[in-house]
Order: sequence, then structure tokens, then C-alpha cells
Amino acid sequence: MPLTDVLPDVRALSRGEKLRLIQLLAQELERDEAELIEPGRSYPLWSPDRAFSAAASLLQALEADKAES
Amino acid sequence: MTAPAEQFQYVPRDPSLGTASLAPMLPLNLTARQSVATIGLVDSGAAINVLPYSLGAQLGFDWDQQTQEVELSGNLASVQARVVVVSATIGSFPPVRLAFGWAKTDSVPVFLGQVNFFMEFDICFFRSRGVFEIPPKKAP
Repeated sequence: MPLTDVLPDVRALSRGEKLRLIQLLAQELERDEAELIEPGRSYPLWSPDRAFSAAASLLQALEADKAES
Repeated sequence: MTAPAEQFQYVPRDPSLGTASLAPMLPLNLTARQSVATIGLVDSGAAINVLPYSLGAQLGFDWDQQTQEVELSGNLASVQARVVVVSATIGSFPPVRLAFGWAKTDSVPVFLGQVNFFMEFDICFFRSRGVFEIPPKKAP
């Protein structure tokens, strides 16, 4: 449902109800963000992030491959 | 007229984690002695491209014939790897030669890293929209 459809109903709420709505939305956003990374779960990082000598070897292999073709 | 960028979707790598596991997974065709359609993790933090063992075997490589060893790092530091060079086709782009560290494990995805995937392609990530794009190559 587009926000523009909801806005008239939201504006018609009392001050107290608007504050309650703000709280509910803030709690919902916080819960969504907390679910992105679950506590206690393992998140392995496999990236070969410092394999620079391997990178140099690959570049050499590509040069050799280019020379052959 | 400039050709439009090719757009690809972020996909969940672990369905149980949903949004938290979304990653830029790129479909590509690799060709050596055989051709294999696969998907690779576009990883700008990876120094090199990495190929899992079974995929290298499917491409027709013989481990004992690949004598040039390379050292990986991080969680992969203890894994043996050897250099292989393959032809790769992505979307409608012309084929390119990609060099991989062929790892002796299947615990890794295909990594597309700085050498030499990022040397061949410019990538624009739009994680908030769940897409990434490869613009057409500019002439050097």
C-alpha cells in the first residue's frame, strides 16, 4: 500500500496515537536490523584478502597465456 | 549510442538468513577443456580469483598437471592452490581470460577478485536496491 494512501488516516490520529505509532515503527525497524546478524551464529569469511603473492603469480600466468595465444 | 550497463541481482546465499545473506553472485560460463556454467561471488576484498576443486575438475584440469602453486590467505591459508587460466563469458560481453587460484577444496564459492576479474570489468554495486551492474567497457 503506498504511503500516500495511509497518510490521511495517520494525520487523523490523535497526538497520543501518533506518538504510539512512532514508537511501534521504531521498534519494528530496530527488530529488522537486529535480525540481519544473528548472535551466536558463525559467519565464515573466506575471502583471500591478502593473497598478494598469489595475485602476482596469476598475473605472470596471464602474461604467459597471452604470449602463447 | 552507448550500450546500457548489464544488471544482475543480489541473491541469498543462505535461505535461512534471507536478506542477511544477499550477495552479488554473477552468472558466467567458464571454458577450458570443457565448458561449465556457474556463478561467482563478486568479491572486491579478494586479492585473486578462486576456483573450487570440483569445478576445476569439471573444466577438465588435472591437478597433477598444474604445477604452479600459489598461497592463499585468511581461512584459506591452509588450502593448497594451483594456477589455471580459463576463458570466461559474462552476459553479452566478449570472452576474457581469467586466471584462478584452483583450490583443493570445495568449501569455497567461485571468487571473482581483484586479479584479474576487477582488472577486466568495472562493477557498480547498488546493495540497497539488491542489484549490481557491469557497464560496457570503455576503449583504453
